[in-house]
Amino acid sequence: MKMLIHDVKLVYPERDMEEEGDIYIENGIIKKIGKDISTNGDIDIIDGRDKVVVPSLTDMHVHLREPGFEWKETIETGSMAAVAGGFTSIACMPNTEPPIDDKSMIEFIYEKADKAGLIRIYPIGTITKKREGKEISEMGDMFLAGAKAFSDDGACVQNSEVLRCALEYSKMFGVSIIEHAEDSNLSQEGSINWGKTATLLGLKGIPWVAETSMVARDIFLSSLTDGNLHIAHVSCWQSLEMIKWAKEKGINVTCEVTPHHLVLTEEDMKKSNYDTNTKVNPPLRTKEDQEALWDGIKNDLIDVIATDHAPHHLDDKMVEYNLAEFGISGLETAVPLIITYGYFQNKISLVKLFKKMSYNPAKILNIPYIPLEENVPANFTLIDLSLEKTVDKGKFFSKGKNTPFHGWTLKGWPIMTFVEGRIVFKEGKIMR
Amino acid sequence: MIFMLNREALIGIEDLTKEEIELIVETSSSMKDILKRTIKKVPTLRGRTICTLFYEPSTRTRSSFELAAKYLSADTISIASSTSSVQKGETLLDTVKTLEAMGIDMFIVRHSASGVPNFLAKNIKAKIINAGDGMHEHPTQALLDVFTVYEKKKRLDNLKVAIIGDVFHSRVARSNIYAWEKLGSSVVVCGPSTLIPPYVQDLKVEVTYDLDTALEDADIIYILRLQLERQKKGLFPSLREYHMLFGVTPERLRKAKKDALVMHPGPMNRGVEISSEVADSIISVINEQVTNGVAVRMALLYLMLGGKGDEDANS
Repeated sequence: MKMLIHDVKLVYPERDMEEEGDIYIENGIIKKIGKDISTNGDIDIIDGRDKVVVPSLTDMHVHLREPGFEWKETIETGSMAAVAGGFTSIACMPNTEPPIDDKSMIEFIYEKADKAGLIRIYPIGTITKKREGKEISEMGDMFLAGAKAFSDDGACVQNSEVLRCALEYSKMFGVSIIEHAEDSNLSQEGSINWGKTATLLGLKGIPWVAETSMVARDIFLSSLTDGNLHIAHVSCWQSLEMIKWAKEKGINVTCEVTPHHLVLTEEDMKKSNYDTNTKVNPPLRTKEDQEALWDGIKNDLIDVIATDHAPHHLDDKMVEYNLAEFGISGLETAVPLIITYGYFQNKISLVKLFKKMSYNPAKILNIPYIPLEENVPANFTLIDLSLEKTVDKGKFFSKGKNTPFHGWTLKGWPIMTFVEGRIVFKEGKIMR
Repeated sequence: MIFMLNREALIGIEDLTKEEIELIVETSSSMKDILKRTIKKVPTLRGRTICTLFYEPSTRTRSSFELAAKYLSADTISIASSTSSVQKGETLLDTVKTLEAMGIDMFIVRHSASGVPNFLAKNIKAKIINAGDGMHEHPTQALLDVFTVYEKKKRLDNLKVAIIGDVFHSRVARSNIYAWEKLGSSVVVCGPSTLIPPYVQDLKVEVTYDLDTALEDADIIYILRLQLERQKKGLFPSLREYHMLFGVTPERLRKAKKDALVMHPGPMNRGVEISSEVADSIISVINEQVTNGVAVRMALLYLMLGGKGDEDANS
């Protein structure tokens, strides 16, 4: 197999640069990168104008639902959704049933990922046994089996002493504690952001302080223990202020934001007329928060963009708003959302945006990052910046059709995904 | 001039126009005339079927709707469930679709979850009237309140409406706030700060925690029911203190206008949010509200399900 992509934009997140050029791949290996590469023989030639090549796209926050909730998603369908979304590796959250809280569960994920055979999947283990928030899990055993971080995501560790121990203990292995920051007393029974929209719609609100108070606590615990802290799905400006302060003080903290918090606000929730596909935790916040999140992307206060892909069955969403499950199916819309709203609308460079979806999460998880270099396996995504397409949830590879973006026209879609030398997605099809 | 309500659903006052509210008020007057007759029945909705579907306990709203339907000769069935659809094992949507398949023309829905009428309206073809959803809206209550005020005051604008109590959890308050704003009257809300919803000022209402300030020069004193379980959640310390600070008594009422009206959506907690002396006083129109509830609901059923616009409702 020989392929030449010419006159394409090449992105080098690890070096904070991008340049125009040609890239030549032979038998899955990048053989040459340069200008005006000449070739002959039987070769696939792709016109790279208006296209971009991004290496090692990584989504560090994915719910694959297996085991326990296979009707929502499986490792197989989640893998398909991921490569269709342009990702070459993902990390999966442990809030399954049973939860990923011991070595055998870590091994189970690796086995299933191998069987699906499309994408690298890195398991995240729980912080606490059974995800109960009471006693820390066997982090050492899980780490040796390949766990790349620990998180009780979906729930926040309410007991501060337990989290202190977790940060202290996990630092032995150099892995991060990923915190879903939420004070459950403040957020209880809430469905949407605490504020004007909640008042108008008569829904219980989740105030920003439910998040920020825990972000603050976690930052101080990280400072106390020198453990590695990563804050998942930051949603409000107040949390960003705390993180900014912590980073200035040299405290060991990184954070992520989701595409849906960057693109949607509570106003969109209101306009949706109680569409449960807008129900997500943390909730869609205000315009002010949204602007702060984009600023955080621009000034690199935010390290990572991650989807928090949370697939649900239609039955979990076709119910009363307060009974609906939280979550948005995000793998297959992340790249076009980030290009449409980050690159085209907010004029943020591709390298800045994609660094937060490749190099940065790879560093936080300490997983392989394969750059665009000669003589390494092709592990990249070809994205067509000029391609405009309407989001059609019916065409998702994910079992989770729960997207608030159905019917939106977005610009800039992945058209080909290489994982470690193999084309796994091309022109809308999964390649086996 | 509009003659009918051209809508598939009445979900809230928020999406009604002033013109529509006025039409409903006028039509309610004609309906009230029917209620005064010995034979309180007209054939207007003969052959139409209305289902009251109540997922929350209710006596007045449900009987009010059922009587309204019967006086207009519609057939009614009533489904009551104190348990949520999920606990029953059947989803809400399945229950409603099942009933719809039997030929229901209109559902009157009450549910503890905000947004249920919106959700149903998106998914079924039958018409829907919201009879109260969670903390969202209770449009027919606000309409009967407006009608009651119109009968007494002969106008709907330039009034000062004081809404007293648990505004946070009250769908009645939200619907009334929307209604009075659209009609050109001003609203002040008053209650303990833990029971005033955030950003309520954005609805163009004044907020005060002082009952005397709220009552000063008020034309309408609208007292909300205090749900007693709110105290258990720690939102206020005791019923005694609540009554002391926010209970409407004859002494507190002196601040209001001489011809003020006292209203309450019921059921009342006498001695808590309202003293018996006030509830049973000459300025209280609480019983009138109940009578008018039937008239307003007849008007709505007629306007949404009835025949052509030029037909006389009394024929």
